[in-house]
Amino acid sequence: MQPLSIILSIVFGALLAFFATISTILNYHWKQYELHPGKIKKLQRVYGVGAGILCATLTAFYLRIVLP
Amino acid sequence: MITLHPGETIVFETRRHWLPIAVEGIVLLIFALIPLALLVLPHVFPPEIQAVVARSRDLFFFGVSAWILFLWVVFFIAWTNYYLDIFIITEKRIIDIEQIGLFSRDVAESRLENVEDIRVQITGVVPSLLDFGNLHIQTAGVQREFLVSDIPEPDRVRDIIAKQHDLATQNALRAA
Repeated sequence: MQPLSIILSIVFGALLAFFATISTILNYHWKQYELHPGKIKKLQRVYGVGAGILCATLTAFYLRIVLP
Repeated sequence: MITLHPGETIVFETRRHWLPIAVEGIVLLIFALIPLALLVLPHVFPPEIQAVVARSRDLFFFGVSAWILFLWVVFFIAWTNYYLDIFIITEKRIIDIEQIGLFSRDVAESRLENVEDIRVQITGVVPSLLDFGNLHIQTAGVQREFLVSDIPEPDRVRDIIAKQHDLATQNALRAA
């Protein structure tokens, strides 16, 4: 494995771990403290769709670099 | 989560004005667009940077994706802090919830009968034009003063508190 690929794999893993942690915390807050629970579902959808697209893009470029 | 007493209903609730969160969003959007400017306006940047981007395009897009993902998360953290900051007036109490950060939350409440003075403070051109400002509520309780920052239509909120205060005082006198 190339040194760049190793560094990139570490960065990629750290980013996903950071992102998953923050998303869990945000979801906890939204569910725990929202005054009108129905309203927060729309927000969760927007956040989820945006994050999903960005994660997919990130993974795609990671694989393009790492895979031969 | 706020638990209301039996028979208690929310009369009014408000959040901070939208302007501060909009400004934060615009700043983050500008930060997100900076790396994309390398593609659209390459001549603005030094030739060395252009060469690096041209040589490793996949790496560049990987970095851009990570950067935008990071900003996306930062925006939603800011938005959560904004959204969970809420000021509530019920028939019996005023409740001020301040979400300071993801792990910092301050909830203060006072019975309406304990409200003594209400002061509205609107400072600056933009707050005057868009009608938002601070509300200082002096109470007789342990938490002497409530400061509700950047709320829209503070004069209207003051009137609602004053009206609810009168009703609560009348009810307390009737019950005594």
